[in-house]
Amino acid sequence: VLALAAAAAVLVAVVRDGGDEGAASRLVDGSLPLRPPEWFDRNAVRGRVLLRPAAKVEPRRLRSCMRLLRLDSIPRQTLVVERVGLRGRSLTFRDPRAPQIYACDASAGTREGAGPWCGASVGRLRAGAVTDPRVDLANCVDASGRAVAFAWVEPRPTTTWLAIDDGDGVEVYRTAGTVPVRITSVDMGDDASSTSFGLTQYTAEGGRLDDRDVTVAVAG
Amino acid sequence: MRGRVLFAATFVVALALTVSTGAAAYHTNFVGNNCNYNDATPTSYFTRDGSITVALRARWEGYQWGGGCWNDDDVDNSPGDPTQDPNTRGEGGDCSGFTFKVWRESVHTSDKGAYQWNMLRFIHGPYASGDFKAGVGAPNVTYGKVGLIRMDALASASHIGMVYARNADGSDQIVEAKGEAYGTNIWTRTYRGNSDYGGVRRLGWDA
Repeated sequence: VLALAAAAAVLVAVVRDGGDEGAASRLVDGSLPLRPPEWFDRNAVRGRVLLRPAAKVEPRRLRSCMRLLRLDSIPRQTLVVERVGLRGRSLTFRDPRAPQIYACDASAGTREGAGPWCGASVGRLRAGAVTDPRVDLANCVDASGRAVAFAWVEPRPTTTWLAIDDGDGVEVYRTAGTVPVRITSVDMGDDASSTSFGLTQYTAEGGRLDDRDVTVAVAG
Repeated sequence: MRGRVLFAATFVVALALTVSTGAAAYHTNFVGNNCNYNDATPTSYFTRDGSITVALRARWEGYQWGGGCWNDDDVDNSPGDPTQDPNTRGEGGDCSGFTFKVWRESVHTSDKGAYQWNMLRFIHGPYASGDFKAGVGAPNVTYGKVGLIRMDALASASHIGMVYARNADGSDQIVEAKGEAYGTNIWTRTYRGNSDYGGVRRLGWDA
């Protein structure tokens, strides 16, 4: 428990995003985005990420997420990644008792239903990595009514920054250790069950590790 | 003696080659070789019996994570694909893709209408099993498990199957895309008594 707490403290210190605010569009919660590292395009938008133990997460938010996932409880030390981005916000946490990972997703609007979340996903982990991006797009929409897809992207071990280009702009995500990054995209496939985006991964200093087009689809 | 050794060595090499070729060829590309992306046909009259017919055509076929395309030859044409890999392009639907197609739903979640998807039309639809369980989508509603009838569904966060028939002991015969190792078929299941599962009903049946 002490080791977990120490690791959490270090990680929280590392990934608590408190950088300068950028001047571009607002994030989904109405706050100003942070300023991405200078090597990114000046129009790129950077969201916020916070990694902290479950006990420190806003209780109502976490409880509603757990209810959606039908989880009675999670250990207080479970590390939860909270992200607030341009089109969505999410909670992601691994289950320390099973090789599973959970997400709750929220966008500016939902097609139906009340509550803070427009969807939730359960992913399986194999060798610590998600076996499927668990695309969630059925119920999440942005302020203009466009479908918003959420998906996990697995960062490389040395990745610090991810850039997602869905044709509607570039959003920059800071990784939280090796926890899969819950990203959003609004570029839907014709079949309305997939989404495509450009994915670029960078080291902390801006070294490019990966640059490719990705299409992910709803499954299960 | 030398001949036997030579034969054995040849056999082992041949076997190794066969096994490695087989392992590399798990990717049958059933989708690429057989499936299409044709439009669905709207249907103004659709019934539970009709959806049973759609479901039974998929019986004995394969299972593909993220999939939604199958033929009707009663054989899994892509057996043994790696599980939970949506890129293996094998035959079959997964549980939610199968349900979407059998329930003849629209890719637009606000559309309650019914659409006939050809079995060789590759389509999964926008809903994962958790979406169905939550009643996401205009055609889908959560429904009390006690009142479920044939072609209603039982869904959890990770799986969904449709009621084909109810058994006398309270269990159900469920038509479902069960998994890579099982394919798509009808099995007796106890989802109705499992608290992880909730009832789901597709709205709009004519009969």
